[in-house]
Amino acid sequence: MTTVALAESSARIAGPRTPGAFARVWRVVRLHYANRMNSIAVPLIIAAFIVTVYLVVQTLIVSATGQNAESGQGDSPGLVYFLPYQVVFAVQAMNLTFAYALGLSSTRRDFSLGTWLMFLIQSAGFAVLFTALSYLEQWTSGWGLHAEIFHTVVYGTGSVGQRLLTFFAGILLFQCIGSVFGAAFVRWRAFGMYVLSAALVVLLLGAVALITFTDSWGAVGRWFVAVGPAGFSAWLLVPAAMFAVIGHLALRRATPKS
Amino acid sequence: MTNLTPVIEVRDLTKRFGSMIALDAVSLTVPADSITGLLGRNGAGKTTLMHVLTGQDFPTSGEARVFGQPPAENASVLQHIAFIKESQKYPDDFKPLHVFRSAPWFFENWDADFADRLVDDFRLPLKRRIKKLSRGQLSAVGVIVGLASRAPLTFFDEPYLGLDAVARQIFYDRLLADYAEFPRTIVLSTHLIDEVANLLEHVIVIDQGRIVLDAPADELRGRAASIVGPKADIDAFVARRGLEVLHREELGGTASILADGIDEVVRADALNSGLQLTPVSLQQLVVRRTGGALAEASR
Repeated sequence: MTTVALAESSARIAGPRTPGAFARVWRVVRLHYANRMNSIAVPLIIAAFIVTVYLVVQTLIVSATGQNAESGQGDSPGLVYFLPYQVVFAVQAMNLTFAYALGLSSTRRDFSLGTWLMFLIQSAGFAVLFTALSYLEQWTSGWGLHAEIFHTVVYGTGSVGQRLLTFFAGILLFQCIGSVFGAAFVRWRAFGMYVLSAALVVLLLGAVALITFTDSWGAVGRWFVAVGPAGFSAWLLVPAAMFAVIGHLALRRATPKS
Repeated sequence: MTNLTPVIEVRDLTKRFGSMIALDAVSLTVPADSITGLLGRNGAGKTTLMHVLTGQDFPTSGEARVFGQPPAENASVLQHIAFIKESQKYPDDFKPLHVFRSAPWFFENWDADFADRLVDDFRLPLKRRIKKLSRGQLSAVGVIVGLASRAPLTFFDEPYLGLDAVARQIFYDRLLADYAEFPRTIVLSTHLIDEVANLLEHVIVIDQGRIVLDAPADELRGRAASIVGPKADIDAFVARRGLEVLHREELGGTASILADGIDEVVRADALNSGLQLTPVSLQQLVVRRTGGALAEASR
């Protein structure tokens, strides 16, 4: 055939060298940021929306009651609404990007490690942003409204390290919850999600029952006080790591189904 | 013509999904630097075979080796593979420009200029969300990645669903020209056998999870023929030559058969016996090989 004759006349295509382990993981991280709208812009918009809504409400309260909310009313845990989005974000990162990464001939292992690294980066980035905003909030007397969104007893008002750790661990935990659900879906489809949900409910219910029957709520309360915000945040990293390991194992033999 | 070491070696490969046997003790080899057609009907096992060969799925039993190693979770093998499939999913809100931004990170031989030219050829809108693309445009995204990645082993699984005749011709032309310049191993699964028949150097036909044909295309092209003549002469000829009859039709005293295993001796004998012998297309051979009664009924 003519094609063969042509093929013989030219140089063979060079076999690509295999990139090192970190390079292979890192390109998965980059893949998650290929569309920055989804991974950076949307979370920022959601955070900005939560803050805006809260500040408007705070302005209304101040103008209606004619007083500055200085005795705790300005305190809002509103930022927790940022967390459900982290679950959605992580499920999407797992499910759709998994099929695409394998389509680009990535291994499951590299995809999983790259995705967890992306979660760490994402959590660290927002921890830095929120911590910076907590200091800004402090210095501007709650944006001039005595509002407390980032600098609040809910997340702790301690050292810079405590604030960073709390934001980091909180966001990471929710990303890990999302990703373990995403991984279960990729591996076992809807059935995996049902089993995982049921397992989590049983686990939580079991813990509550155990504490109640052993009359230990007092001890639990004392433990919270004893470990403080930083200690509690550090403890959040334990379930986060547990979810990460489960998700990683679930992905090991997952297949991109059509 | 080709390197001695095969790029793909499959031995007794079986893949089950529950009680369904998708691949049934399949054995085959694909030579290096060739364009191989993987042909067969829907559900024959083509996609499953490619999923196993690209590490997207795991074999139930048997062995699949690509570049001498099992492909599953093997980064050094997968690095050499591009797999373009019709059902490829993309992350939410991805646009073609995101695909062409990220694919080069994974394919070291990526040619950005070539990709740009192909985008123009296929008139692909880069900034439209992938979800909003037409079926043909979606196929074009895959075709461009498959060509521009220049992976040493490239699989195209039904790459041109929804592409019009002009776009398909562009695909064949670009594929052939680029293959000539950068020889590599290409496996093309398709229904449009006649369209690609001249492209193929090697043909593998799979039916109900089994390999029914595995041969160089040149060999197949001459191998089957339609023979027409008086009924009695045809019967005598078939018996004398021990031909495998894939299909037979009769009209009055005339019989027409489609026979496999034609060679020079058979051809000369047919001419001397006053029988009319015409070679058949690859597509006809594949249809007769895999269709059975159903394919006949639909013709």
